[in-house]
Amino acid sequence: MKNIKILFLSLICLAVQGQESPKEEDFYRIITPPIPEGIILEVGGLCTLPNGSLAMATRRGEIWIMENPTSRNPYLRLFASGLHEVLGLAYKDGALFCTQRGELTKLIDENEDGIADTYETINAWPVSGHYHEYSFGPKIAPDGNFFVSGNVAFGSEEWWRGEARVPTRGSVFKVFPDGHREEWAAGMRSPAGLGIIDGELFYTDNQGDWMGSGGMWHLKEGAFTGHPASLAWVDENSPVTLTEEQFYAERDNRKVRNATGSYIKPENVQDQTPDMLWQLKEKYPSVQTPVVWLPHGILGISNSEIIKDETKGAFGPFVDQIFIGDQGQSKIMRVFMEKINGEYQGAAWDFRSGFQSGVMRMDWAKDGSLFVGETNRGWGSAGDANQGLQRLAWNGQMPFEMLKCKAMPDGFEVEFTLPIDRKSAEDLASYSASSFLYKHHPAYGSPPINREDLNIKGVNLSADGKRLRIVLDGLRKYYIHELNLDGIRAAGRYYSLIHPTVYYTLNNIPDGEKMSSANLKTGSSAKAKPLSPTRTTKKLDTPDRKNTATKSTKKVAPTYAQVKPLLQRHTCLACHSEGKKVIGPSFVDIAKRKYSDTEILNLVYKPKPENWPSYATPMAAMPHIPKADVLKIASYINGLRL
Amino acid sequence: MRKLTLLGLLSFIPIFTFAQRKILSENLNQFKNKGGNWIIAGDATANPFKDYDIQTTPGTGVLVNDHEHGTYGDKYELVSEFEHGDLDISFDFMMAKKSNSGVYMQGRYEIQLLDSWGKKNPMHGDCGGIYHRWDESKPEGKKGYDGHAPRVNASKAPGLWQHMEISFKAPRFDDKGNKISNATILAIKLNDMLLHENVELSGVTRGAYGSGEVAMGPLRFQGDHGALAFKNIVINNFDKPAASLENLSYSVSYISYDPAADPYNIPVDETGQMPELTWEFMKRPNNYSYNIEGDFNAPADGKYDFTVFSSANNFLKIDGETVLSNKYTGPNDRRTGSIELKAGKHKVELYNAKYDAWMSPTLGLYVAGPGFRKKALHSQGSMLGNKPTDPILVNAKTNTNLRSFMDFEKDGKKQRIVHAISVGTPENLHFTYDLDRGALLQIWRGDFLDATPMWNSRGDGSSKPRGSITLFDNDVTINTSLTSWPTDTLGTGFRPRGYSMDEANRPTFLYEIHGSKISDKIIIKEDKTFERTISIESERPELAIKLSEANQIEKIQDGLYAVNNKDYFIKVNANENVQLVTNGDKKQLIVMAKKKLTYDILF
Repeated sequence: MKNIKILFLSLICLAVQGQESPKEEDFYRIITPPIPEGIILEVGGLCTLPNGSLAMATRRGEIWIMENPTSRNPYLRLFASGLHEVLGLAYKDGALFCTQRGELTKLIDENEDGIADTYETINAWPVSGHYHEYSFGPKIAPDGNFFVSGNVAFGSEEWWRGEARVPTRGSVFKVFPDGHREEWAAGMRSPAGLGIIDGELFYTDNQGDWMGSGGMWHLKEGAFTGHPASLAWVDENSPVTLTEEQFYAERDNRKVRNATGSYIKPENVQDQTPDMLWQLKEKYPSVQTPVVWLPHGILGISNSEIIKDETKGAFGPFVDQIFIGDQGQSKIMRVFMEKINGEYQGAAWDFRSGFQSGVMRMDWAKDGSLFVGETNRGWGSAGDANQGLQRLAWNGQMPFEMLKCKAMPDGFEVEFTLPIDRKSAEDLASYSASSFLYKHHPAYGSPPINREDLNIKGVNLSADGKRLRIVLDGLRKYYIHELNLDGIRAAGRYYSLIHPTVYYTLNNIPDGEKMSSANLKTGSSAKAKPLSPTRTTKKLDTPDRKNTATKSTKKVAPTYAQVKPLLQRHTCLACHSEGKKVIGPSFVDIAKRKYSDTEILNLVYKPKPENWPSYATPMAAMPHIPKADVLKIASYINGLRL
Repeated sequence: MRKLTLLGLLSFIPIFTFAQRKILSENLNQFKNKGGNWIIAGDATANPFKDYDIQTTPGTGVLVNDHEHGTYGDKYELVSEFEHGDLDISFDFMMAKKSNSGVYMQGRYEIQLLDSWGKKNPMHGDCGGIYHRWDESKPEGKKGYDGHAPRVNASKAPGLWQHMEISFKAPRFDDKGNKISNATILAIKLNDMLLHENVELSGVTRGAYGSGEVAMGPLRFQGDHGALAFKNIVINNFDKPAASLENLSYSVSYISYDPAADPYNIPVDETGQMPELTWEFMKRPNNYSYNIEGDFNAPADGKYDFTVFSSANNFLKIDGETVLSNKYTGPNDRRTGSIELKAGKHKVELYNAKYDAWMSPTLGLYVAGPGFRKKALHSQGSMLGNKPTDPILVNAKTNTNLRSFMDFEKDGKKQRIVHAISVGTPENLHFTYDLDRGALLQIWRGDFLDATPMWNSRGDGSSKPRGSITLFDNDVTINTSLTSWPTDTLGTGFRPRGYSMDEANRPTFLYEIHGSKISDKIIIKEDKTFERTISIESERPELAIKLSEANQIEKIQDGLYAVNNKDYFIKVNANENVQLVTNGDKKQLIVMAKKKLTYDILF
């Protein structure tokens, strides 16, 4: 009897495998409200007003009020205009506050005709006039004052090096209603997203020089988050205690000139002992590591707005969790945050992609749907447009996702939105895990470094099937722990998880009781471990073209599903997709060029942007990707040849 | 007022080439004027409020038509002894109030000069218009035809010096004397604004010398409809053969960018000859470095102006001498350089190296020289494929304001103010206000702003005025003393407060300085005058308000001052407590503060 039952269930599994599991769009719908022709909404600020209308600030210096924003016929009214590239909007005491490039401005409609009549300068801060000196905010602090952040400028000769030519650049500061301002925190490069969560200030930064990847930081007063530009203005009156001298005693600025006297742009150095941000923190406690790293290319490339789900369930099951926008991949990520040993840390997942342009700002509608203000501001983004205003709404169906991921003394506990299938949960072949981090160096961005596969010792699934304890070897403090739950299925329906990968930033390992091995399931249906980048396989595809050609009829190219983990891990998906042109050419288009696998390998290690002149962004060299992985991807690409 | 001596005048003469000459306003020997109403003077002043008024002082340098309004006729014209064909003429002129004059090219095609100050929709008969033709046989009201209105009304107030440039191409005739191409106005610019471009003239305009058209004709100035003054009249004849290129050859290297390589010592991949100047000999559009050499035939001794379009690093040398040094430019950035050459063959060398795939290659080479107009030396295909960006223009059909960075040049140095607001009006008069100082930076007439630098692609945060600009001194407006005016707001307690809008969307700027609240509003009065009102919240008789700081300020009558040799007027109430103060080599116009001060800028 039992055997027949098992056979029957396996057959059902096999049968269902042919279908597709529900995806993001089956639960969260993107709605594009009609906007009259001619209005350009490169949204820099979004704010829902108490009466439900949506205030929008744009790059063109306009503030639009959208009345009945969730109806089929929203009405747009121009409230204010002529402002200097607004990148944030807030509402307080009956007035709108906006952040222009150089000023925090209060907009007041004195005579109540629906149009602003007073543009009051609360505080005008210095800018040097460099194009990159954007200012973001304001966000209203619990004490009623305003937080504002400022981007760095770049050098004239050293165009790659962020610098603070004037005070406030590369920092977060507080503006008071009487018009004075005070420094709050330093170390920012491109602080495009500010958020107040539970009374505390958080911000996102973008990958660049000194920022190995984007992420979200908690900003206590006096915090330093990694980029040294703003340290030039820190003095004894500043709440920031880290000094320039202290920073450069620990880090090499790599300002090197060549033989003709010109500066050389610092690039990533292979095979070095890397510096990491947490090492600076261990010496200087005011240094902050991110609450969550948002791995570059996987969870965004240009992180923006932070918003907490305060809809009490109207937006789905992720109550009180945090959503973060991305301007380059035009999507939203999700973060679950907890406090361990008094510091914030947490887990990050993809949430919803497919917006028409870069996600810059978000705010809740009164009905619990989410307004998304979009612009790529000239940097290129996934999607068809350079700007937009869209709305994301939950359709009331329960998505099958990891709900939470908490750190445990011996691993993690994942909570699911629906009960999971016990058999797949108790099979260790359903999982893989690794951990990695990023360098803290003056080069632009960092490849993932120090990656280690983590041995999964065992799992324990709760009786209701919704909480899964995963016990691992090799937890490392401060490291990003990547858990792939590819094999997990929903109980009864056997759906895959919509987002099967979670990235947990383990700033602290909690104390407490470890799970006894008696309670752990340790069985695995796999014969060998899945392919991992830390292993160098000696014999794979031969680089010899002849061999490949003669074997081509027998060799089967990997499918997209088979290489997708590699494409994700190595951030190929940041710029390429299979059939569609994104930031780079599609794999189908690359296949048309008829490169051999070896030629693709060489081009990944040393790209030739001149081969693709109509693409604005040159491909970055990727010499750190293991040869075996590249050749597998190349094989997949060439399998796309018609 | 000032007497320009002959010596003084000579020191202002620029270097002329063979074909360019100034019609010296020293004497009228080159002209005929039966009526005797045209005179040479040292300076001219016209009161903008008195019809037909013009006053002169003795001297040389200024050509004045001092004709009493009311009598008409040919004898009041000023006609040149010489004749001209293709011609460029530029001059400064000053209209008296309500005056009417004109410049006739070849004595036959009139460009109108009129006091059109403040006219909203200019017609063919307004300043800078190409006057209409006349057919007496047509019914009343329909006799005039084929006049061309200027694109904009660029007129300044009467009594101010204005600047006009006319570029004229004469009609062409065959051997039998039949006209084979029309006379053409290639361009007319008034006060830096383009009024006409490539306008063909079907025939002579009303009041021409006869109805026939000619290859050469005299230059003629109308003198019977009111007073006006001219100075700095410069003409350029274009009747000489043009320069040319031949024996062009190229050498090219196809390499990727290598910062360690010596740019002048790269192994050559390919060489060859080409019949025309172009970049199209190249086998690929990026990662290359080439040198083109050839012979440049200069038809005459003189100054040659070269204009180059090239993508990325490029230079131009003639006979080994650098005319345009090695610089990195975009495909739409033109550069111009000049060199004196003797007639004959010269070696031309063009270099270009490019490693940026996003730029397409381009090569444009233009030359202008003694007696010939600017001409293209490159082949047609050489500059295709570089589309200029679609401009993003901001117009002020209703009162429109825009904050941006604003660039300007002062004392030869480029500066950028970062808290600036530009205010545009449907009267086509606009200004920029510096919120960091409470100062008026500039005013201009024309269209409002070009915001392409700010809103295209990543942008640089700045916008540019579209029109003819007058710069002010961008200085702190209010001070505690008459002397020692500060250069910035340090120590003044300056605090910007923003601005409030009136019903018509016009801002009143608000700030604090020296412990007082100030409001500052600038509006357009009577469609043509800037009216500025500065209010101080409390009685502060010790404060001074600076209306202008300039190289030269002169009093025309009580309450009326001309600034920088009649570049603009400032008008205050006649009984205002005005002080004209000398501060080093500058003059300052200062009024002691009262609760409300109003003054006008006539521009």
